[in-house]
Amino acid sequence: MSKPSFVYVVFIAATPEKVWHALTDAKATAEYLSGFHVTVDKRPGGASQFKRGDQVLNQGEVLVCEPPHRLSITWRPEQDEFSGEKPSRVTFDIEAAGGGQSKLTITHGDFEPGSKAALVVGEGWMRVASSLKSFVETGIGMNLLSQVEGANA
Amino acid sequence: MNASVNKPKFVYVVYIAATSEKVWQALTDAKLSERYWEGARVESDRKVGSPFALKLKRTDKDIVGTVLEADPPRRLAFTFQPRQIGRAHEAPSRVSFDIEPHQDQVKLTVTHDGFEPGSRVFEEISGGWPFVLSNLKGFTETGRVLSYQDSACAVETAAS
Repeated sequence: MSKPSFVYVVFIAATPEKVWHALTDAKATAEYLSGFHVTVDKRPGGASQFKRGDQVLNQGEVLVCEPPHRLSITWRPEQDEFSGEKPSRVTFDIEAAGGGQSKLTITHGDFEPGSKAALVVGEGWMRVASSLKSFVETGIGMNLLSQVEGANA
Repeated sequence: MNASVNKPKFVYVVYIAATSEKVWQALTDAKLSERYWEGARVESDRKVGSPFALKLKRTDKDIVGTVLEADPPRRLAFTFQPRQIGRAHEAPSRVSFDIEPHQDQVKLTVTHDGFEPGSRVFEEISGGWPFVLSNLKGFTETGRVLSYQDSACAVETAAS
């Protein structure tokens, strides 16, 4: 298949409701995304944006919104290096995993053949998922910028 | 490059707010591993050529192997062979832990490869590692662990 798919699973010591809040509430996302944040209009057809201040880094449309278990959005990067790529699709599945815990599965697929974005999103999701888990469990997110060597703060 | 297409390979990356030494210790100390690794005690002197084992309460479920590389606190590689019925006939696979410091945190990369095509062990570890590594991260950062039996409830608190 020419449409690679990235799948990442992380278990979090918090209820699906708490994980959902951390994923979809703009203020909460700012707590663990190191200067970035996410806005989501939580209804099918609503807009979602990943931003740094007012700068939109990628954006999309809500396809499925089933709080607190499933959010699926289209994902279109706005950065120059990926310009012209068709939107891909990101799905967050949050399952109760017993004992007030959650299993979060992040799936990013439906990339166009030869997509450059497909090659790099995985690293980003692993950083975001690690920081999200720390934030939900400890109240303190991770510094995403220190994970990227040579990144501009 | 193309030769790897049919050979199953599992790679998982997790960032942990801790030092390399602390993550290395959690990965190689029996008393610590028992807490977050579904009860498994890591038994190894971490010398190349020495046995590496994950000892479980039921010995017929132990994982056994040999240390291939040890460079504390950066890299540990070992062979991985479950003794359990239905898996023991498979050739040993290979696990490596790579720990890289990134300022206030570390990047832990777990690579598990060397499986036979159609490996049952590969299917099982693909489901198992995300839980163990999520638990390692949480345990290292908070001292608490996830419950892993359906009947167990609530997050345990470290007795330290």
